[in-house]
Amino acid sequence: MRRVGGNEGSRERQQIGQAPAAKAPAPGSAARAEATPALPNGKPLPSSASDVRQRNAAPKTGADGVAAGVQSIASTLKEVTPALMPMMTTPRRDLQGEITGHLRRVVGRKNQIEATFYPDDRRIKPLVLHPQDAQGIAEGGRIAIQASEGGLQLVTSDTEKVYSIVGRVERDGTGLAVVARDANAPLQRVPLKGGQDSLLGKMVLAHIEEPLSQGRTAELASVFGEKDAWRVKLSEIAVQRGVEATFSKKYSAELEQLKAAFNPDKIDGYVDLTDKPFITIDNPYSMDLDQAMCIEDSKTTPGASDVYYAIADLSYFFKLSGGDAGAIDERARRLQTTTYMPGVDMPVLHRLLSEDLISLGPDVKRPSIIIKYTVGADGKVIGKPEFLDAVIKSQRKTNYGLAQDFIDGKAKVEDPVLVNAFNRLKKVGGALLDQAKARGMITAPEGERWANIDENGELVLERRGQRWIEEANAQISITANSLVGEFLVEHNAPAYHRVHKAPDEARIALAREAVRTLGVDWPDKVTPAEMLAKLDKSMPKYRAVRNLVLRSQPRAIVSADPTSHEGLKLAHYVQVTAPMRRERDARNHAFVRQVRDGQTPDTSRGAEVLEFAAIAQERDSRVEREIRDIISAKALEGFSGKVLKGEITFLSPRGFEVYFPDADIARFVELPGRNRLEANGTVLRSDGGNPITITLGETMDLRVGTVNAMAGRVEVVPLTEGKPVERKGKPQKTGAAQTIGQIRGDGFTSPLVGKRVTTEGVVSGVNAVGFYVESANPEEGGLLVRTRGARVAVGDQVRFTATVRETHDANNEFARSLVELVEATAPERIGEAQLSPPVDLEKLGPPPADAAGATDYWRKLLGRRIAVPKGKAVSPSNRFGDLVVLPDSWKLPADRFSRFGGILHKEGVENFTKVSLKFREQAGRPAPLSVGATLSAIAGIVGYRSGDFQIELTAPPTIDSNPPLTSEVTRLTGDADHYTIASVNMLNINPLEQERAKRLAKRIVDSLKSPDVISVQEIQDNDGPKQSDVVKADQTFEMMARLIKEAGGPEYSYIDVPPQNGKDGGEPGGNIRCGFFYRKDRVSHDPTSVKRLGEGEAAFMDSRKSLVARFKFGNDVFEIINDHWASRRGTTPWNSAHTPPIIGGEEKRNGQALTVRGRMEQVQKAEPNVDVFKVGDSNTTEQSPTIKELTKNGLANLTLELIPREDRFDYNYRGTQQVLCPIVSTAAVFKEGRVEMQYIHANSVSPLDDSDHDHSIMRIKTRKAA
Amino acid sequence: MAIVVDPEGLTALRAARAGAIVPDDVHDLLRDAERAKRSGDFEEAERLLQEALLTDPSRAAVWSTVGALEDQLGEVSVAREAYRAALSLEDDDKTALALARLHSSIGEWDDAIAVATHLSLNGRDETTRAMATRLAHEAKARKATS
Repeated sequence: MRRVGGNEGSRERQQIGQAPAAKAPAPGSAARAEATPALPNGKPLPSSASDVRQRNAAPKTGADGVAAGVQSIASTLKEVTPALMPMMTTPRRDLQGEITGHLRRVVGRKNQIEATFYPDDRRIKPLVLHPQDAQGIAEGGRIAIQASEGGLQLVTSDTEKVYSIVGRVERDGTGLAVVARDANAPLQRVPLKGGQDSLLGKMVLAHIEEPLSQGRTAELASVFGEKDAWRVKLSEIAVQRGVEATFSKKYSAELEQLKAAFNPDKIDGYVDLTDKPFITIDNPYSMDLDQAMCIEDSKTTPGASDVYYAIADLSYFFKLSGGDAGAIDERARRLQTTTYMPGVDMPVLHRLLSEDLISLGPDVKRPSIIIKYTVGADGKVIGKPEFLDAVIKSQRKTNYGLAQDFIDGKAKVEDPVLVNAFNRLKKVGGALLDQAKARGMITAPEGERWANIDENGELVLERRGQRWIEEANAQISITANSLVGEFLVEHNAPAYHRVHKAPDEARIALAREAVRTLGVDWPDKVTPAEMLAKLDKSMPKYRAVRNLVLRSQPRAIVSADPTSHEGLKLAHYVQVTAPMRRERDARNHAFVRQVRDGQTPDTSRGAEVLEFAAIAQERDSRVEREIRDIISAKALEGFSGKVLKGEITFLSPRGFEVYFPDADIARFVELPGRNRLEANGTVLRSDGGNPITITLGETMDLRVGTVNAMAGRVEVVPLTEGKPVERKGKPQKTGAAQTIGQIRGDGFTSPLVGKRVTTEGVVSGVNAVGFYVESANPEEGGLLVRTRGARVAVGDQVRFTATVRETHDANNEFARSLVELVEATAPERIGEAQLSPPVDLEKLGPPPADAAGATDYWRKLLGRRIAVPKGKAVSPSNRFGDLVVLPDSWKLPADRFSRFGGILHKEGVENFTKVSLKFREQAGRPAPLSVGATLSAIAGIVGYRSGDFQIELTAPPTIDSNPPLTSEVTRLTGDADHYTIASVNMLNINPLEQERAKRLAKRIVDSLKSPDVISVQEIQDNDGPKQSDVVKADQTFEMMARLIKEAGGPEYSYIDVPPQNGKDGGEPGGNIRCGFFYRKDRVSHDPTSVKRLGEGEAAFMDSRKSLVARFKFGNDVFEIINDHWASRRGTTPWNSAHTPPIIGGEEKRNGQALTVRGRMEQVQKAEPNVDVFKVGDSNTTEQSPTIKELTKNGLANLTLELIPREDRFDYNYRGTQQVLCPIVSTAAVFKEGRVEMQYIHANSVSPLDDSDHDHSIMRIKTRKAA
Repeated sequence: MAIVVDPEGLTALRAARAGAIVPDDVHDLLRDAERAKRSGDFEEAERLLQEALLTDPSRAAVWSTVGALEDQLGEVSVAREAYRAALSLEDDDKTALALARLHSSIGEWDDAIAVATHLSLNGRDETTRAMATRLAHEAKARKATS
């Protein structure tokens, strides 16, 4: 992680998605509470980012009613209309899903005409949807049904709409309509606006201005001709997958405006390089010419060459057309990439732009951004690049074929401009290519099969990307991208990096072994790149081997994280060379210019662009998959009915890929039935008809049946016979006799794993999934037998046969496994036995103080009954039945205890002196218990769950005492000379949790005494954890403000800056964020100061952004940075065998701390009169390396400085009280003694459920009073 | 009683239930089964999933849910069969990882290595691929010592 922030006074590194500091938001824009647009009746408008289709406008109801309705829709549906009601929920995605496919399938199959969604709040009318409602929604769109003040609504966003349609023109009443297939809905008929009868029967491409409107109409974009069957087919594929092929009215109007505004003879501020002999080189049919180049002898380094790499200047044109707010920019941003298909493409920009106005065509003046760099004769770049804004005039448009033929001596070229350009390209491109190969760049596989459409409209196959000149030319471009990457990283600037992370050695080892299984040697020291270079196309199993080597590599992605591109072996790689087919390249241009010119990079669209880039990648890959099916079908057309040899190049349980040398094509073939990967990873078998054995790398006979190229379908039948899939029937009723001790092994693993064993023992406990059995020899321990319904009772002596299993924790891969028995036969009762006395932990004493010793201590006890000595609870009990106790006889140093008798965290020292209990229903659950509760007669069986040893209680313990619930009250209250700031983790609060919200509100009023500012974390959006488009949380904030007032508190306003949907981590669908409540009667806030810190930064990816806001109390201005740093998920349990230990999220938190430190130090330096406080949930302790790094330059660690040791905790993690919400401030406020603070203990001590953290509060004396 | 997943058993069940009215929305059944499982009512969860299998055996999600439930209940043969059926219908990282873990849990090292290696090299999600890589290596180590 690079250091962020740098020295004092240096510019804070800005990242994608973050608004420039110089560009203050419009007044009030950040304070959504005050700026939310509203209807005249005061109700908020629907989100402008979404389209809402609503039927059956319902009477207005309160938020409570709606919330209740949403929450219980699912449970009510069947009761209302069991036969009619289709529901589209899946267990984790209530009220959301692929509604379009669902409507088509369910409604169609049932011959129903509509689907009705019933909320059980009868004040809200049901939402009725027809299959036609799926029309206008792009495939793959995540559509939601939302409840709001107006009732239930179907909601979609721009990226989910079908703007373009390909269909046949038919008569529609008195007019015409375009009739088209739809990926989701039944056949569509969209009225064609202004169509003439001459269009009847013709296939057309049309634009739909308002896709979701009931009265939508289509406008003709183009008419397909008789020879355009393939173009129609390919266009259909694209538009059905969400590609937009047409343009809106607003776009067209802007286009006209831009055309009029563009004067190539008057491009101000650009240097004139029109005299330089630039050329473009592309495929012959390319019209969107992104790059032009001019290579000259270097003026400074003898033997070297100066490369002027000119790139079409999209930004220049965007400025002419309204910039970010314009339709041209918006469409390009949304689509991100041009979709290329054989003979057809769907460009990001209108062709007038990409093929004319912006294109670097011959003999026209065009604005460009030039990357000028010098390449030595050895192919190494000399010095630094220059970035110029220049007007150029390309002198020639040429193509790869001609250049390659010239180089190969096959074509005579007399044009001196081309001869010069080709020779220089050969020299420089060739030298760069040699360098790239020498540094270990992974070379692309041989040219792939592709297709084109010929003059007769026929699909003809071709091969692309084979020529040497294309590789050499690509190096000119790759070098430019690499230099841009280095430049931006060197200047600590943001960028859209193309990242290809380093391969994982362990994964390469697997691939290496798989390659060796195919009989091909891949020596240990040979890297994947070297192996690929070594592969010879003529070698047996070449393609299968190549696939395995390539698949050992990670996938390249677009990221804000400046990681290297390992495939190219480049430290940094930022694409800039194709802005007309890849919109983010133009955004990278902007970063280059801004850094070059000393401006602050504008990253305000960052997160949006990254999201659209991911959508575009998925969309284009779907289109490409379909086209590959078509191409392979086309290639196999002439082989219908024949038997071909095929080499198996890839296998999966779903099917296999086969390469047919005779047709020179590969195709994926699905295998029906249930398949399995064989043990050596190379054989697949199917029971879908005849058994088939398919082996990776083998060549086999396959019959090519019916071929339908246009549909992309080919029937391929493997003719090799195989063996049927082995079906394991019922487990054997007998097994080798083994004692429980032999089976149990070391408790975590068993030497008999997987074996069928017959054993005897005494039933020691029964639970919901089976029973515990223990050996007559108590030292052998016991086991859990997972078998439901066994008729056994504690004390039964039983004999049975079962399979030995090592059960893994599905949620924690680093946890230990636990030896258990499964698939048991019905236990035979062979007698009754007296259970041996349990292990007495009183006598045994506490576990050793080291992790290995403690692990061993508990491991030996796994499955054994134990008696836990009388002790005190050191955690509150929770709703899962977990409780941690400290036996009275187990001693700890006095300084390890909190004021409440809980065990305090000690940095770097894990405490093993405690016992975790699990209350099961069978053993009875006691009333909720607080820290300090005393328990006796604790008996249970030792198990292992969620990465910890836990005693499953076999009987209810005796509760000797239970302290009353703790809810401390602060002594820190505000007055004329003091203001107060609290920090409250609201634990995923949302409008569906009214009761808990009331308890939170009451705590704020009663315990925190209504602080002046409340920094809150874990505020969920209006529909809570529902996965939908909803990100607004105004209802959540308003609910809390209202409940605080109802609890007797003052009136609070709030500050919220919503995150991008699903981009900040936390509970899926919840869109948790940090926010502020503040008392308007005591403080004011500066709306322009509000911003999310960390937007677009790698450290904040999939994590909550910190929220920054400034407030004013009297004359004092103070800033709060409200954090909720990355979670600790993925941490290895203390007893894990995994080394080295992993602290989940630590790297991210370190990066987040650096960003926060940068901000605090910046303010401290520039505005010493502004006190800055970092509050919130840091997910790390006050003495962790992360917080030490944060405070190392002098920021004050208030938690450490102001809180006594016995009070220093706000969280209880499995019986350890610790700080996860440390507070840090700028130095002055602490040094001047103006700040006091407290943790208000409640949740870390008592079984309260309003939050899982204690809250904190500070009181700050004003400067004047001090 | 575990869920019937073998083809012959399913055919017989279907025949036995010919004419009976069965719910025909798998979404509902899956959702209800998950709820039953979470609340510890495993029998109800199994009943609902059996209905789902009879209703739409071509859906990978039904099979993977059956696999997860039976895995938890220790019905490893049924779980293994269900996971395999799911993967034959749809490439899914989570199901593949669950199958690899199941193989590993009962000492089917070769199968665990095969499935985990495949997932390591072909999985979509980088985190899952990394987990599969570790699992494959662990299974290799266990195999070597068993």
